[in-house]
Amino acid sequence: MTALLIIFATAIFVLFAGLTKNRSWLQPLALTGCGLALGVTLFELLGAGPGGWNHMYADMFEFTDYALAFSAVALVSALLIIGLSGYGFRSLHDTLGDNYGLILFSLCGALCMFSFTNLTMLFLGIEILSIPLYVLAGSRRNDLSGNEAALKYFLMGAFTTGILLFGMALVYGATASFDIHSIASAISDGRHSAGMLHTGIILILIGLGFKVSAVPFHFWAPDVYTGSPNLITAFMATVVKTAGFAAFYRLFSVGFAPAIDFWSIPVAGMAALTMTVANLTAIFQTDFKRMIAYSSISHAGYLLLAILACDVPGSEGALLFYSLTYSVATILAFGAYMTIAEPNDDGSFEAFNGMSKKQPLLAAVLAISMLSLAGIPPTAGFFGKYFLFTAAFAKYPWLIVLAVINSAVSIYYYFKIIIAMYFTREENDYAVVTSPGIRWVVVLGLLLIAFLTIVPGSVYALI
Amino acid sequence: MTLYIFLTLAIVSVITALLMVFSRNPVHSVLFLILTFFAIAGQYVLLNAQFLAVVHIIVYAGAIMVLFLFVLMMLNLNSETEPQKSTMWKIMAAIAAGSLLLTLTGALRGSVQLATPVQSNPRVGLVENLGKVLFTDFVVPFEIAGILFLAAMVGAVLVGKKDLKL
Amino acid sequence: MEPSGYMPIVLQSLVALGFVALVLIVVPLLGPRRKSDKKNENFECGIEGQGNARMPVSIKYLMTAILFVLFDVEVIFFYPYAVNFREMGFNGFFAVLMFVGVFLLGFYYVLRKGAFEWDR
Repeated sequence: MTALLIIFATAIFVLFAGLTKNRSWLQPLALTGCGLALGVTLFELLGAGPGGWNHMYADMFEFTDYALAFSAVALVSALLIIGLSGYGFRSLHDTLGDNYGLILFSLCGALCMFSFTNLTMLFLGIEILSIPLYVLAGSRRNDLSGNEAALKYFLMGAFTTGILLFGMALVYGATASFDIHSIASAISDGRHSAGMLHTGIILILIGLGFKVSAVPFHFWAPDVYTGSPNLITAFMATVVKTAGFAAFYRLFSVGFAPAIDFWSIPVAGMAALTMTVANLTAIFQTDFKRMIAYSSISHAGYLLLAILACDVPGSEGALLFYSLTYSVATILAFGAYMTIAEPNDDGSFEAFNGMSKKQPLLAAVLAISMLSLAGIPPTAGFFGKYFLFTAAFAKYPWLIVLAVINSAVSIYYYFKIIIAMYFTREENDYAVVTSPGIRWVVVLGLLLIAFLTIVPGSVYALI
Repeated sequence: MTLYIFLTLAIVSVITALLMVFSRNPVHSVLFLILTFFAIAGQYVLLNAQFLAVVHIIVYAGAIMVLFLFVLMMLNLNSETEPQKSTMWKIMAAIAAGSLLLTLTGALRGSVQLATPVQSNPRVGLVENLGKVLFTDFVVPFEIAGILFLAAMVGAVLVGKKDLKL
Repeated sequence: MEPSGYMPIVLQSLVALGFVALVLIVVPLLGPRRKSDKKNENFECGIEGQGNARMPVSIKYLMTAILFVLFDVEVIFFYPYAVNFREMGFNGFFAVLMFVGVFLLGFYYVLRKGAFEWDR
């Protein structure tokens, strides 16, 4: 809650600072706010506990270690993304404050989604997360693909919000409560009407499946990811996905836990479809952002395994570790991608040809993040997959076999980038334009990945 | 008595909703939608949700419909520019929506025993009781909704306003 | 409330609707009517109509409408507060104060951004 208040206050400060003529201190202000919130969250997580916020205000939220740890992941991602924003937002002038403000508002929504105990808070969190993003996706108003992205995201998002809300209403009708603990006890006591409950769970599953872009509700993702500004895409691929999965896991592992025999079948089907379809489609992509979009869909498939294994101890830690490694690697990849794609207006794989000679550091970072996303040992991504797959192996061996095959397939398209950077003879005359901010973020992110690689247990065992 | 009122309102809402979908003129669609909203507000009153009924009329039938009309006027609605969906699309959409309807009714049929304890109290939806719940138990979501409104305001200005030199 | 308690509201709606219907029916019957091509033109006084009435209007109207909806929803929340004003005491007052404060911040921001300046 303290973090949420800090982020909200920062958002307002940034908004009003954006109205003044001097916009050079907007980014430091946003960074300070996020850093402060991260510090408070880590302090609460590692030692102090959440203070007096729990069980106040009719138990609307619950700041367990789970909520705090995921808040920290989202805040780390936001810090790195805002660190990149000096470069990504360099062409913005009058709307710079609005862009930072909306990103921070969206982060507020994510923080609500980690700690909710009441479905109203979950709904508000999802809306606060999404509405700024609809706008941000189309924030380059003269760009047609950006407009297309915003419109598609908005229409599909609004529609699935309706479905999600319908599901929540049915669950309320079936169990007479919005509180996830009361819902769980109503389900296990049999004080519910089964048809309504099951319909509600399926509808909520559809709504959340859209938010985390799981197949078959993923159709918006490639177009929206490609059309949005690079930083916003990075935000969608990391913070939104982390928030979506943390909320998904919390709702299904606490609220709907007694009905696991019912919902595990569709979720398992969704996971299998998501992994397979996304990886097979990603092979045929020639554009980096589209490839990353399908890659993020495929990671949603792996993360669904954690939800299937939610009654296995250690699945929470696996979800946390995987979200963190995935987010950091994706943001680093975007940081390196921006430096070559934005100045030359080319996002294809060929743009990376010979990058290792022009910018050895950025090329190495991009290579490491690709290796981590592919899950090649000994990178952090490998440990993420290892934790996730071992958690789910006992219950779903066939899914894990499928997941391992899919990971092998994914190596193919991640390596395309590495081959273009290091092993291609033909070169292009593209200029790589970097900034000190990008170098800072990249070094910090590399340190984080190195830390996660050396002591993966430190994060895994946090919750 | 209540049953007849319910049936009348239900029939009116379904018919006006269908007319809303099928009418060729978008402004007529909006007007039919307003009628649908009134019928649904009547249903809310029957369910003892009086405040919700009033809000439904003021906000939805009032403010949001005005917004819809402005959106319609913003678009170029000449008949020659109107996109025509082929019959194939319409059939596919009808099949998809129809199967959703079938699935939902099939799943919800027979699960009539409700766990909701609120139905016995006819005063539960009055403004007074709703206000008590809103400002005690649900005070946090209420404040958080403020963030949502602020974000919506900023977003609206960012989308709709030309870049100004301050 | 009993269903019969809504009788005054139903009656009032009927009277309002009935008056509108009555006026719409009676006025054309009472007044004189002349129909001709000239009479049916949009502007009777000489200027010939050109083009189409379906013209996209400016987005300014939409901006105003969106902001109106947001503040309309804000005002709706005063209603349950006003009814419980005495009972809530300071807790309710601070809750509403915070909510309105957030809206005022938004209002000031929108004002400074010039969203209400019609001719810029």
